[in-house]
Amino acid sequence: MEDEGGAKESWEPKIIGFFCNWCSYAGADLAGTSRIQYPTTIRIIKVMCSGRVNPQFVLKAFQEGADGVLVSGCHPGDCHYIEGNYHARRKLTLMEDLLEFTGVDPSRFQMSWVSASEGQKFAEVVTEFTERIKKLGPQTKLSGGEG
Amino acid sequence: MASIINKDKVAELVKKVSSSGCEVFGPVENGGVTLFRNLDGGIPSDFTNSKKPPKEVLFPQTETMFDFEIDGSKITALVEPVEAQTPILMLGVRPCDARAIQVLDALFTWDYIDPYYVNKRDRATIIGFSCTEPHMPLQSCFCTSVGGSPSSKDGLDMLWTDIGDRYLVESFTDKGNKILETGGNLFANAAKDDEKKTEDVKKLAESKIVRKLDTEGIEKALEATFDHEYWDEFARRCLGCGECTLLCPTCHCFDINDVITRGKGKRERTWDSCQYPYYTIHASGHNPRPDKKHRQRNRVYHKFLYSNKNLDMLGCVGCGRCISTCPVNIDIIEVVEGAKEAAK
Amino acid sequence: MTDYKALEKQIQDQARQWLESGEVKYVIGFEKGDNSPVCRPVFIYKPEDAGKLAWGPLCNNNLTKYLVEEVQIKPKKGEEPDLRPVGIVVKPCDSKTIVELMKENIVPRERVKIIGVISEGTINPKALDKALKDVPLDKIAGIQILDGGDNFTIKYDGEPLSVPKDELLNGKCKVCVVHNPVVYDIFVGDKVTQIDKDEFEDIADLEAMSDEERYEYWKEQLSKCIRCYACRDTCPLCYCEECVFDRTKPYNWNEKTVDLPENFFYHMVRAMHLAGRCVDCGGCERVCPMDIPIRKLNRFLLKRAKERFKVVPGINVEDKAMFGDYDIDDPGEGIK
Repeated sequence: MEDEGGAKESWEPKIIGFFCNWCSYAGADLAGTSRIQYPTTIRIIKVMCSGRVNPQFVLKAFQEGADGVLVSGCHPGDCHYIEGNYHARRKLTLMEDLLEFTGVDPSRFQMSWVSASEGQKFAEVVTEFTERIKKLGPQTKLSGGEG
Repeated sequence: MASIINKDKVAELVKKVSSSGCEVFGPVENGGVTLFRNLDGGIPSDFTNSKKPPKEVLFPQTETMFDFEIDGSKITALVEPVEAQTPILMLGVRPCDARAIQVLDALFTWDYIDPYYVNKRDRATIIGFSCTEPHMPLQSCFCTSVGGSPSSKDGLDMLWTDIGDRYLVESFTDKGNKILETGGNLFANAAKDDEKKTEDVKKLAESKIVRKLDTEGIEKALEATFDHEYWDEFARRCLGCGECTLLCPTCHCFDINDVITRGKGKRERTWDSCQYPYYTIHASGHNPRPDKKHRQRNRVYHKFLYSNKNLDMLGCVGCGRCISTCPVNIDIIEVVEGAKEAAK
Repeated sequence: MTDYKALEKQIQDQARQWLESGEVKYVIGFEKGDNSPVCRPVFIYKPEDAGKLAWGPLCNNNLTKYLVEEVQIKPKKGEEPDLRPVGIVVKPCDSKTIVELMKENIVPRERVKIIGVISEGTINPKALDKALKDVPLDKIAGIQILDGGDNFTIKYDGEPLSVPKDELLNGKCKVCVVHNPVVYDIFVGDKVTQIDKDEFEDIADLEAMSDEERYEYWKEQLSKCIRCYACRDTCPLCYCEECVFDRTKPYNWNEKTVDLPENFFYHMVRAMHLAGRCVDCGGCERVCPMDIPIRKLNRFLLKRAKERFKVVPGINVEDKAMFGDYDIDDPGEGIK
């Protein structure tokens, strides 16, 4: 764990992103090829569909020390598998509620819809989320204080 | 020569002992249940017994054995000799649980000296509290049937008996005497009257234990019923939750796991229970205790047969925790009586 | 007011009849404990044993757990499986479990014959223990409990005790709105008029807290957890052949370590696995040796599921499973 004061300035959050193969991952790729700047805080895990993201994945990421978790999929109606993102929405909004109810800061979790053409949006979402997590500081509630 | 200590002086004693560098554990109310935790003040005088047995002070549910580092394919174990020296004081241990610690002592020094347990055990002074209300929820304790009593001094360095506004203090060992020394003027000499009162309290408590188990012939009966269909009957309703074993003061099984996070790891041991199918499953997938009946049978055999054979003492101290917590009323007294019946 | 003895008689008669005709393989019911007033599960195979079946406010267990075990037994090679239905005695909350089990295609309707008994609340054994403080210890096993309207009357050799129901009832019974079985072959008792509103008042105080206060609350509660998994083992809806918490291959989701982060993980994942399915039978909380208010997690998700997706589990077999279904207009506030 970093020292208080000076070290906090240099602290960079770790954000885990679960991105769907068809839209959001391609969107992130577009941001890269278009040379749009976005924070290096995010580590992306590609999943075939946002519907694949089990709430357990998110909780486990927090437990392993993630400071924030971002799940991103196709816009409603655009899912490559027709309905995967609707299922994701049901599961993950309820899980977000549970984070709130257990007092584990729910604002460390974010969902977004990013299409393959929205490189700019991807960068915005990540930038904004990183700013938010930076304000919140290291996540210790589920990771056991390792920061 | 017995001494007394006033109830309102106990907190002061705890303070005095802690300031001498000793870690003090005692029954503490924690989110609605009583558990053995660090004590920084007095001790509730109305607790029946802790939900989790005090063995967790000497044998924690999860204990790190050593750390290791991983660098690529190179793993370095950072094993350090177990040599902690701070003394431990356990205050408010019930006599049944103290007798259970004797079972653990025998077990952890049986065929292998377990350094983690033995190190803590050597440092520990155990102060027992006589039971005045030996009454676990829905009457289930039966220490008098398995060789104990609400005021047994087995395994204890000191025994305190609640006689109203004060405890009568008996010390049996050097460790106990040391506490008397540390306490100094907090202790006073007991009057004749106090000793008389203590005898009465002890007798009354003993009369309050209504559950009885006749241990005569248990071993023979169990040996004769290994394959008896009797075990099917009662184990059918077992849920396999393992509360009976995790809360048992003499149960001592543990599982060893490596917990690895980002290049660092620790080898830990955590309580395990013979009531879980994964306890016995082999790498081949074969499970020698495939059903709940085998697992329940193992629990009873371990307490009343194997423990006798291996350690020369009963594995059950009659604390009643397994009976009062079982969600489906599996009652070890009934089970043993039933086995004896089946053997006939 | 419920006349427990009359209900008990009806249950016994029905079980006897089914066993005599061979319609059912056996009957899962309750019997009185030998050394405890609390009732326990029993399996009746012979009509002459039907008299063992008991009924009363101390019939706490949700017996459908054994129903799941029954349908999950794989027949031995070359053996013709006995697919006759199993008789089971259920309270209204347990009958809701059967609805969920049928919905999830675990228990086929034809494998079960249900004796559905009305219930206006069962007694928490821990609360009973407190109420019986002054009853002589050797009399406790033999007490009788009668329904006296707002009170329970506890009869034993001495002066009968009258204890307000509020002091004794299980938490789930205080907020329960379903007093009649929802699925049954035989209905036992007189239909109870029921209020059709669950306001979730029991979790309002927690919801009103700040995040930090709630975290402190759960920290205190979950730090007690000994991870015996009794809440899972008693839950009829936890029927996976291999539970995620037992799995070690290919990946260990939950370390065996008993500490706060692992306990949090366990309880949150368990709650998520029951979201939209849990019928609030209260089994998990009742069996918890550490008195963790597990139901509160379930209740919260029950509430949010109702608010967000209008899902109320355990009522209608035709309903779709919450996570197996979706609505295009499901709320998704906060999604960017």
